[in-house]
Amino acid sequence: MKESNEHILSSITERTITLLADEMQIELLSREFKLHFPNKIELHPYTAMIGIGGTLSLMFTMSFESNILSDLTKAFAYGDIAADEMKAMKESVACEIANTVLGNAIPNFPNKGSGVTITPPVMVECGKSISKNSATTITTSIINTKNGDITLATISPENLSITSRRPQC
Amino acid sequence: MLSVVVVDDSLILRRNISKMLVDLGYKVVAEARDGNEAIMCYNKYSPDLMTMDITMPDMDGITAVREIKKISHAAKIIMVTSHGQEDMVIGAIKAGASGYILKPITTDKLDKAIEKVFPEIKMIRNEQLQAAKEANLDAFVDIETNEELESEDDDLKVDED
Repeated sequence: MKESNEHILSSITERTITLLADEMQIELLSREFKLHFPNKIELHPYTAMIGIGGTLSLMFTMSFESNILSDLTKAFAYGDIAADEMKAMKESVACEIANTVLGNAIPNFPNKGSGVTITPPVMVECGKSISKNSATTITTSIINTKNGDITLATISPENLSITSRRPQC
Repeated sequence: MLSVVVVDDSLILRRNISKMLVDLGYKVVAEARDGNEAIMCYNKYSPDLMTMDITMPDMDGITAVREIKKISHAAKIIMVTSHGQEDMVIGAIKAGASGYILKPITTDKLDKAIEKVFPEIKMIRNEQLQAAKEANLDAFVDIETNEELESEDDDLKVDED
């Protein structure tokens, strides 16, 4: 269901824009965004990935250009960051932001996100791209900031279904 | 000084919370990355307080709270949570958590959450603040007294001339 993919990624993107612009004072080139359905996503140097399960079944990736992630890391960190800990902090901030915006967006998912679960975030190391096959749909949005782009994506089965049952815990 | 263990799977959050706690005058004795490490740290350090993330790999925060409360019913644990995790916060409180903080974490939020769990801290701080004010006042009086004495000395010198 293309509509579900659009609904889910729009909710996450809107929440991300609010977090960046209003809460972290990051300068965006535009608050507008468009959804795309590409066959392949080119990944930026830092990409966090989270699995969405329970009543949904898809993956979410948030891919950051290095400069904007540096800005976010400085904004996120309490106190100064030593040069030798910057890379680890950037990876941690990428995961934390992906986790936060996804968690905040769940109540706006179809069925108010009832029964949706998410996995802890992981970093994609040395990944260059993600390609779809005939049974999957990739949906993307791009947030353009003054210091680089952030690409958000969901990767789901071609016919994303929302089950009504709650997952067994 | 309260001893604290910070439990979070996020490196940046562990670092931020630890630095904030140190700036607030608390002693961070250890950091843990998941529920299992949290239990090990509790057994090793018997901290006065733990801050605990809810969603963590291997063992989540709610399960860790339940296990730690089995070790010591007196354990004080503050949950760290995001918007949209209200159900989980209720679960954590039922498991024995003493309070919670909503992300994004700030020094002020952390301070207030700790004061709620340990009301005596606020009282002690107020007493310290009052004592400091009184000490400053005494010092101010001393300075004035010295200045008065010096002024009298000058007068005497003038008289001598």
